Amino acid sequence: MKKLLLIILIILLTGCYDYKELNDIAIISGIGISKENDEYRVIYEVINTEANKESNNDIKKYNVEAQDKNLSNAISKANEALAKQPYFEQIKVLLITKDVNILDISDYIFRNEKFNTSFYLALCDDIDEIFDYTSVNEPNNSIAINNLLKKINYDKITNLFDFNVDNLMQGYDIYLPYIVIDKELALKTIGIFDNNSFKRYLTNEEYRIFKYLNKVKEVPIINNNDSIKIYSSKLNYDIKDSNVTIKYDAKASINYLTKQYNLRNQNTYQDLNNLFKDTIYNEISTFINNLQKDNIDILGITKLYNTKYYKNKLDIKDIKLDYEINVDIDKAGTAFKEVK
Amino acid sequence: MQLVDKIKNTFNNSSDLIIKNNNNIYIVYLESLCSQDKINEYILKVLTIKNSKKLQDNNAAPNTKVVKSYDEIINFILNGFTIIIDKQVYAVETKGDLIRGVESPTTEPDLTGPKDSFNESIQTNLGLIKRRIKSPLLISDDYFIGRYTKTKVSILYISNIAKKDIIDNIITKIKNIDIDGITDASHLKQLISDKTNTLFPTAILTERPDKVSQDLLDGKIVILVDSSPFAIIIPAFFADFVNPAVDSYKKYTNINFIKLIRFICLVCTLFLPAFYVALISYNQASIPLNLLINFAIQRQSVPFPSYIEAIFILIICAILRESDIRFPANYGSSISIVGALVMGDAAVNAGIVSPIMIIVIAVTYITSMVFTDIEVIYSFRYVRFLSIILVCFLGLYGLYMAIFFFLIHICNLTSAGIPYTFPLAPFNKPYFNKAIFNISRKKDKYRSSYLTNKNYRKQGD
Repeated sequence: MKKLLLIILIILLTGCYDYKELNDIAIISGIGISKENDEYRVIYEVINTEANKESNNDIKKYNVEAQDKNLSNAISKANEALAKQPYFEQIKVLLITKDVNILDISDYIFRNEKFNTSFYLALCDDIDEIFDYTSVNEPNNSIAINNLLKKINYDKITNLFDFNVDNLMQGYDIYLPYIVIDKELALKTIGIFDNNSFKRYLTNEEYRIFKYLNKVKEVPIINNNDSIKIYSSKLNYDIKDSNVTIKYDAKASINYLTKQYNLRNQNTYQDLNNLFKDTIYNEISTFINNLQKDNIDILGITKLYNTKYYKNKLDIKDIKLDYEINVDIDKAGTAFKEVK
Repeated sequence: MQLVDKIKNTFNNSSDLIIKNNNNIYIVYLESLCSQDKINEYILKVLTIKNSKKLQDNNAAPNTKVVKSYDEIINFILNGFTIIIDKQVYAVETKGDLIRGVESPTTEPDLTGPKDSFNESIQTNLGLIKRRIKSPLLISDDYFIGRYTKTKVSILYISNIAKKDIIDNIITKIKNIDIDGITDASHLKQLISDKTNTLFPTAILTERPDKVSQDLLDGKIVILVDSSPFAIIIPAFFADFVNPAVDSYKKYTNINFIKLIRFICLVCTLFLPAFYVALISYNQASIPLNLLINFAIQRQSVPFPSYIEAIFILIICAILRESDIRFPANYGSSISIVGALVMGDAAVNAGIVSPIMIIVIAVTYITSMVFTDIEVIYSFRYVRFLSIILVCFLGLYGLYMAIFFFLIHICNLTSAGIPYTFPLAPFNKPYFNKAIFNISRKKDKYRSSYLTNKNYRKQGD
C-alpha cells in the first residue's frame, strides 16, 4: 500500500511538467531574424493547423513578427502575438540577413531549452520576401528550404546551426547557403562569415568549384567546350613539414566532347585524364589562392593545420599549399574492343 | 433393506434417484446420468434370468465391478454407474451419452494440422492423446477434486522424459486443493498457479490433442479435467503464448518470418497507443514535421486530450470485444463490424476522436488478435492501460517505465518453478528453437534440460 501511494505521489507530483497537447501548440517551422534600425526583427513561419489539407484555397501557414532592441524581447513579443503556445522543436531553418551577429543570437537559442538546435542556418537578403512567397510544390517555405538544403550533400551536417556556431566560437570561418527567389526558392551560392562578420559571397564560378570539392555530384568540368561530370570524389589533406597537400581524387564520366576522340584507344583516355587533371588543378588552385588572399578558409584547412601544429598556429594566408589532383574518366564502352 | 434406505437418505430422496426391486435384487441409479437403454440391455435383461450370481458372467456391460465400501457405492452412482444390490453389490457402467462428439478446434484453429479437439469426456480426451502416444510410459495419475463435485483429474506425463520434481510439484499442489468443487479446467489452472496476483497465465489451456502430445514429448505435464474440453499444460512460458504449437507443421524458414511479425505485433498491441499518446502530448519533436502537420490538422476538431481519446476508444473496443464474445452468433455476426465501422466513422465525424487515433487503436486490436489465448489478451489490455496512464503523466519516460514494469513483472513469474521468461532468460537453445525461432526439424534433436533430466535426445542415437 505504501509503495502504491509512493508511486502515485511521484507520478502526480513530477508528471506533466512538459505536457503540451498538439491542439494547444503553434508549430513554428522556420524563424527569420534580421536587423533593422539597430533593432532585432523576428518573423515566425507558423503552420496553420486549421487549414483543410485537401483544399488549395486554405492558407497553409502564416507569419508572425515582432521587433525590439533585444532579441529576447523580440521573441517574447512574437510569442505573445501567437494565439497558441509556441513550439520551437520542429524548426527547420533559421534565416538571417548578413548583418545579424550569429554568436549573439546563438547565445539566446542555446540557453532556451525550448529550441531544438539541429536546424539549418541560411542567409537571405529579405526575409519577408522569402516567407511571404508561396511555392507551388510546398506551401511551407521553411520545409521547402529544408528540402533544398538536404538534397545537397555538403549541407547535410556542416550547415546545421549548432555545428556552425561551434566553428565560429573556435574562431574558424563558416559558410551559409544563400537563399533567393529565382522563379522558385533556390540556393544561389554561399555566403562566408569570417570572425563572426559577413565577408562575401562566392562567385558562381567559385561556387561551382566549391560544390565539386564537397562531393556534389554531376558538377560539370569544362575545357574548351569539352566537358566531364564528376560522379564520385575524395578530398584529403596531407599535412607534413608545415606544408599542406590537398589531394583530390575524382571519378568522372564524359559529358560532351566536341573534338573527334578515338575512344577505342586506351591512350585517348589517358590524354583526357591529363587534360582535365590540368583543368581541375587550375580551377582548384585559383579558387583556394583567391580565398587565401582574402584570408578565408571554408575547407577547414586551418583547423586541421592548427590542430597538428598547435604551438605554431597560422592563418590560411600563411599556410603553404600543394596540390595532388587525380582524375579517372570512365572507360565505358571499351568492352566492345574485346568482342570479335 | 438397510443399504437402500441409507442411499435414499444420502441423496435426500432426490427425484432422479431410481430404485427398482426385482425379486429382492435392488438396482439403484441416477436417471439423469444413466442411459435407460444400457440399463435395459446390460442389467434388466440379465435379471430376468433370476440368477444374480451369473450377473458378472452374463452381462454384456464393458465395465462391471464388485463394490466393497459404501463410499464407493456413492461414488459410482454419481459417476453414472448402476448399483445392483443382492448378496454382493455390483456397479455396472451405464453412463448416458451426455457429451458431444469430437469436433474441430474452435479457439485454436489452423489451416494445417489435425482437426480434432477435446470434448467434455475425460475418457475421450485421454483416448485422443493415447491415440497419438502409444507408449506404456505415458502415465496417467487420477485424482478427485471437490468435496461435492468429485471431479476426476488426470495428470499425464511420459515417465522417462518428464522431470520428477515438476511432477511432484504439481501433484503436491493438486493434493493440497480443498475446495467445494471445480467445474472446469480453468478453475484448476487458477488453483495450481505459482503466483495468484499476476496478470499473465502461467499454464496453457488448450483444446488441441496434438499440441498436448507435442508438449508431453517435450517433458511437460498435462492435466485433464473431467467435463472440461480443455487440457492444462504445465509449465508454460511467455514465449509459448506468443507462438502457437501449430507452427511446427510449417516449414521453419517460412514460419520464422511470421514469428518475427508476431513479436512486432506483441510490441504494437502492448505499447502502440501509449507511444502515440506520448508523441502527441509530450514529444512532438520526434514526429517528422509533415506527419505532425497531418496529425495536428486531424486533431484540430477534437476537444479532448489524446489520452482521454485513447482510453475512450480502448474502452469502446473492450466493450465491443466483450459483446462479440457474449452475443450469440445466431443473432447475427455483424455486431463487431457495426461497432468498428459505423461507430468509428461516426465518432470521427462527430469530432470525438481523430482518424489517426482510430487507426492506432485498430492496429492495436488487430495485432492483439494474433494471440489466441484469451487470458493473455486480457493481460495485454492491463499493460496497455497502465502504459497509457503512465504516459499521460510522464510522456515517453512513462512509456519506458511501463516497459520496465512489464519486464520486471514477467521476470518475477515462474511456472512450475521455471522462470516465465524461459527460454530467453535463462537462455536455452533447444527450447528457443521450439518456441521463439524454429530450426529445421531434422536438426531439432534435443529436449530442453529444464524440462527433462534423463532423456535429452529426441532424434537420432
